[in-house]
Amino acid sequence: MRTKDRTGTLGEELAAAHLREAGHTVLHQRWRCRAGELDLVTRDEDTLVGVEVKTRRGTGFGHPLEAVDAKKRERLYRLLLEYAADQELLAVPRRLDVIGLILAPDGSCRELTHLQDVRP
Amino acid sequence: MSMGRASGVALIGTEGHMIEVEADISQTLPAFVLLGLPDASLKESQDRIRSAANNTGLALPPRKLTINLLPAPLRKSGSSLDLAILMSAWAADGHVTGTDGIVFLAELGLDGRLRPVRGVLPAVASAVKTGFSRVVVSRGNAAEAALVPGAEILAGDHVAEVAHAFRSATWKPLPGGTPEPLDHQWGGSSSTQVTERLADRAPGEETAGADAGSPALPDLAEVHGQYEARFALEAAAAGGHHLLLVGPPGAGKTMMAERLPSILPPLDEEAAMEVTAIASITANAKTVTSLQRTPPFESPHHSASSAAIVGGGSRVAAPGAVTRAHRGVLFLDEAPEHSRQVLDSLRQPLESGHVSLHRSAGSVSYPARFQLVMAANPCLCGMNTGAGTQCTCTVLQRRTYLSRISGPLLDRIDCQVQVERPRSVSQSLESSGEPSSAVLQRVMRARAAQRERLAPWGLEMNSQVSLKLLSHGLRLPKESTGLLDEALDRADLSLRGYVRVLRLAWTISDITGEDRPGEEHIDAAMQLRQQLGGPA
Repeated sequence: MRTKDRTGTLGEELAAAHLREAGHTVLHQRWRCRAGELDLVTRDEDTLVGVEVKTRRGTGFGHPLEAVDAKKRERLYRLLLEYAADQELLAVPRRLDVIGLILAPDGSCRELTHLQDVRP
Repeated sequence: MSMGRASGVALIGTEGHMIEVEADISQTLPAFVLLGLPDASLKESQDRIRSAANNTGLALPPRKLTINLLPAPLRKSGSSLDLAILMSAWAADGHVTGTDGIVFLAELGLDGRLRPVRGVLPAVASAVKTGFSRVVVSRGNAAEAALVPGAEILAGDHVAEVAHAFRSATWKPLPGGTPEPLDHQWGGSSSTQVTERLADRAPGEETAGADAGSPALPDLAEVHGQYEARFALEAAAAGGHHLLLVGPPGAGKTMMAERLPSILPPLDEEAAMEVTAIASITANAKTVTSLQRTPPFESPHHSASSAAIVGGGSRVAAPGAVTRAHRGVLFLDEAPEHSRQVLDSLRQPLESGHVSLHRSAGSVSYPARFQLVMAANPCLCGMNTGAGTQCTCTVLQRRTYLSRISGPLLDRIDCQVQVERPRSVSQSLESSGEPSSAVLQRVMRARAAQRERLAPWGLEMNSQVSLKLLSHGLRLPKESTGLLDEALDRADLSLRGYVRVLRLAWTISDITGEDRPGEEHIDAAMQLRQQLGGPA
């Protein structure tokens, strides 16, 4: 496994743990379809939540949150719609969250930012 | 709190409009939204601001930052709002506090350095007038901002210093260490402190004083002979009359005109403020450090377009030569060579004292109360003087040359004189002429007399007096005006010409210190109104 993928997986684990603590029920991790992949899909009370996890080992290339631009956000909304259709959850309210993670050199979490409902 | 406020100033012409800058940080994906009609140069500020913040060590949070510039319908441009935007953003993030109601006027470098901007003087002046007396500027603008009475100025080199001065309770030390404190603190005795420190720092630079660094003006003592033209120049200076000098090449027309500022009274506080404000917004202005007390002198080349003369350019029009000559002299050498359009475009500012320029991006009004001095050759070859034996022009050429200056424009010029080449060597080269300082004394006395006499009508100079006033409030007895009345009856003189002769007569009597013009003054005034190309 390449380092960048390991970083990603590690981040997703940390994010999932954070979400469980925050009361989410994790439904899927790395849900894939033809259009792409959702890092995490959870249920927060009555809402279906698609979560994009962005992990970095430093801010030398900018804050992880800055990597989620308008185009990527559009794509994530489409994916979440596909997921809802696939799971027959179209009637459930849904939203998109983004979690930005900065890891310390030893792989522990240095900073975790959870942005809820990132509609423009 | 995720809201921050600061103030800035948007300049339209020389008029400042207060801008309230609001910053809001919302918990969503990083973005920078700038609202309130920013133009391209202002939109670029977002990248300058993020970099400046990062390099200062107080990075803006990776969230959505919405900046709102109020009032929304006013178009804003330029980089002078950079500092205000950054301070409001930091206030929203909680790094700084107390920026509400403080005016910030500086451009940011990527490293967070504060850079001077244009138009600080009019901006600070209008801020103070609106009740915002506390202003933060870059050190390069400190002296200029301090010229405004009542302004409390903070000046710094780096945005870190400004941030430190406004630090909040949760302030964390910067990686670069504690920055130097800003020059001056609020509530100090006066803003001159800033300029004193500025002087300490740069001993080579001029200090801001009452009238530091005005260049030595050419002196009238260098003009030999030319008694008539000298007298016309003195009368023009004393009464604020526009002047036309006609004479052959080498007669000294340009030399005379260039010496007019040296016999004009220094600008008073209000005028100096206006003139310096115009200098501050002009593109090629050097850094303003003191009020300009010498009346400006503008002499555009005759190839100038009307946009260069009255002001122009796309979007919001920039000031032209008439505005730069405000409260001073606009000298048009070789006046008939100027395009007709340019000459006639002067009529409106001559009448109203300002120019209104309308463009798609909005209209702007600039002050343009200048004294017009024109110089012209008598004909195309320039030799049609005296007997005119050396003139090689055809009759038609001679007739058309001066008529390029249109009648309506000539109409507005009170004082029109012939300048001859000095004939006698002994007369012209032996003794030097009267120095400007001596002439200035008489001019100032004459100005004082006019102000006192014309005060009830709200006027200051004889050149502003109307026919109505001359025929009622300032009516002269029949004995004095006899000669003039005859000329009018003979149709040698139009009614407009009649008015101009009377205005000049009043000025001449003011120079000689009389109460009111007598017959001899009116006679002298008629000499200064020699007919040049067409009836007077």
